Amino acid sequence: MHPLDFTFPFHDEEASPILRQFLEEFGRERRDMQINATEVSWDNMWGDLVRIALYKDGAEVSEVGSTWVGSFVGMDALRPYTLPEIARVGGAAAFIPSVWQNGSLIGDNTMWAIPWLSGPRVIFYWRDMFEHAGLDEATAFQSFEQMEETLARLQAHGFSTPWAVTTRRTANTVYNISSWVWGAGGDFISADGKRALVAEPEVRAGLAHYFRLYRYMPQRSEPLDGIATFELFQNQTVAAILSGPWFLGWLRRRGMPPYTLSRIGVALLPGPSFIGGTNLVIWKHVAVDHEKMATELVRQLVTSPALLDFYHLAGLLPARRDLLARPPFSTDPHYQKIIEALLAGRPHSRVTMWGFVEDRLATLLAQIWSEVRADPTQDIAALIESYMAPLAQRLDATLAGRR
Amino acid sequence: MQPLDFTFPSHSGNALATLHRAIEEFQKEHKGILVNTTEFDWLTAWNDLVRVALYKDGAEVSEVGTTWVGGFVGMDALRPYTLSEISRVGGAAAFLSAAWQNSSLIGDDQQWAIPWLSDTRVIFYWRDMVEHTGLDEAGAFQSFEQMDETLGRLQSRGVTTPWAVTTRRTANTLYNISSWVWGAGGDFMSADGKRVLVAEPKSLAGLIEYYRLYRYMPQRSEPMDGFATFELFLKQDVAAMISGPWFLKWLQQRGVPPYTLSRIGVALLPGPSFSGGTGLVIWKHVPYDHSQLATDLVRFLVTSPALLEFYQQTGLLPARRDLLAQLQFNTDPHYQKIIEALETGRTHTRIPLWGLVEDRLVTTLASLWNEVRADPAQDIATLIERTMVPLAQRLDATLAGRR
Repeated sequence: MHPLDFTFPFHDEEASPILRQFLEEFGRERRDMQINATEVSWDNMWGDLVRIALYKDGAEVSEVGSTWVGSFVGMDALRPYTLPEIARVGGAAAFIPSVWQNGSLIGDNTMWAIPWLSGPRVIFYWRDMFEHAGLDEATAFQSFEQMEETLARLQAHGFSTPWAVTTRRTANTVYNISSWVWGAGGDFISADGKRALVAEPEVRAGLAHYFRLYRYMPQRSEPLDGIATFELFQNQTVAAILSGPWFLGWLRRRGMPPYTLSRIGVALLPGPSFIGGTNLVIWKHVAVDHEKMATELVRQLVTSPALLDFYHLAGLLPARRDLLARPPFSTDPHYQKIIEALLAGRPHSRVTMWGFVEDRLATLLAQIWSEVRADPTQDIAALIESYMAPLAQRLDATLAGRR
Repeated sequence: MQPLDFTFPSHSGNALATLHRAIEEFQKEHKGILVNTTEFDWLTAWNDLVRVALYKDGAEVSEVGTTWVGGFVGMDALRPYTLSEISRVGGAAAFLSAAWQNSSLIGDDQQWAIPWLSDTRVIFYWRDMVEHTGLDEAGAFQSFEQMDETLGRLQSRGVTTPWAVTTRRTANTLYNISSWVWGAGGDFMSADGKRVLVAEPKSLAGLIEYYRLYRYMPQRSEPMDGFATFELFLKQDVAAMISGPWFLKWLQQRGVPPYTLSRIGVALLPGPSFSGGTGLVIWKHVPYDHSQLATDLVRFLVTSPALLEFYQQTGLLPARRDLLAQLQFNTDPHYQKIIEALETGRTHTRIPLWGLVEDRLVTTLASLWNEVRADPAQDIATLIERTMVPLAQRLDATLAGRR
């Protein structure tokens, strides 16, 4: 039998060998089946997956970004999981609900993907700085108002740039800002995916809160990328940043000792966190004689405790409750808070056109950042309105009649 | 009326300014019309265009790589040009034949793109070095045997590494090596696009000739990219290399004076050159009231003499014969030889799945380079046959029943 083709994104120099070893063992246990595993860089991942969908060749099982599933369904490129296959991975009850939702689309009962790795966003902060400013860690970021007060107090205590988020063009800005939009009672598109809500007052209010925090950030003429925010945090130039569990992995790789790590606190965002991550999909062109093996591979990857170290080193959480209940996830205080964010979080609108909306939002939010950086004193609310009203019109024109 | 969205891959700063000026002129001629331009980085252009095709939004007219057209036709994303539109740009006779062929698919009468920029591959060599060997410049690279003799003689006269081509993973290896495959009487696919021919004896012979030239190249453990070959040539560490008209632009940018430029010769490859470039496509989702304007823009871009400077600034040639007959292209001896290569050049098999074949070939040719670099003394013929036979089987299985 031909080998089964499996593609996955690059995770981490230490995590990837664990996954590769797991795949080798999986193949060894099934003597007639080899796994042809291909690792792809995150930069090329979308293009490579689109080629697979387009040419119906190259991989039979793939790990894909959770927000990409809708696009591949739109391309008619995925093979849905059957009810018995879903039952064999434990069904919805075995997974965190917000993560499980990522496997299907609104108004469609079909399960197109099985959630595998998940990563909510949280706030990481230096506990010593908070203590120095006399702040209560438990409530410091609980609402927009408290966040504002916290950052202002830090500034008043000599931490001139207490806050940092990425300001370059990246989907991460969409993922980060979602919490502010949802926290203000808004959303990007309507529940049925047919109408853009980005110009609604609640959405604009959430966006304005997020961009107004620029006055607490390092003022730079160039956009700030995610790694730059990590470095600013590590050298204590900023007191708090927004990131996911992978940030802890980054700190460990940079040699941060356990005591220093323990001085970093984790807080929930002011609104629900966006829950992203990766899912396992089986492509529609999977060979008939590979189908059973493909679903078995997915089941093993999702359920096996042998991959606990892989999750930890990759800096992402397993999507299954039983695995989250095991160390280090059940014991590490950072993970405890991150799991809390996972339980309270939500995915974006699960429609085939979400990729389109996300792409437009990522571009526009980066443009707003450029304008805010160029003139931080301008009227942020007016600036946001000037961008969001035409975007809503444009999105509405495209979404009309499509899902 | 809404603005017309036009996207193009990144061009150099000067070329971009010229293009913008030309578009302003077009806008003046079409009062009340705004053309929204978006530049895609070459590295992400494929992904960005796939999004346009997938979400049916983001561009109405686009400049695309010629080898991408088949993929977009396969996605049912393009609007074909009508006979009257084709006639208004001058029809086939007005264009270089290989460039014109690039815009339609085998067994399909539709014209999916209008050729705009052309490129091809030639050999650039230091005339003084070749003269020093006592060989006739005109015949030095005319056949595999003569090429071998030229490089052998250069080596024996003290130019230890007379030859350089890129050895990293890039489509350029496929575009370069095509001349060797075609020159040996082989091809990558059958004329009807249904069968892969890379493991046929003639194709293998061409591939073997190309890789055997490694004995004349700098021996490096790391893959060599295109710019590294440019630098080696500029420093006269190598006597000859393969590139396209953009290399002349690169030399000018590096400040190479006219006399030195005149000491660089241009020779045709031993077989027909691959002719590529870009074409202008109109996306199927173009609104009805923009259709006429979109074709007007394409006609303007393809025929306007206002863009002559633009072609020179991009380092690419116009696909139209009347523009090629003008200015520097007609008088510069380098360009004359490049135009000769374009006139005698060929395209790859024009099928929707060519992108798949190209992708697999590019990967395989790069892994062959890795193996050759790791052990230059090995039997190249055996290595190539061992690699190409399974590739042909795999591609044949994928292409069976598909076009």
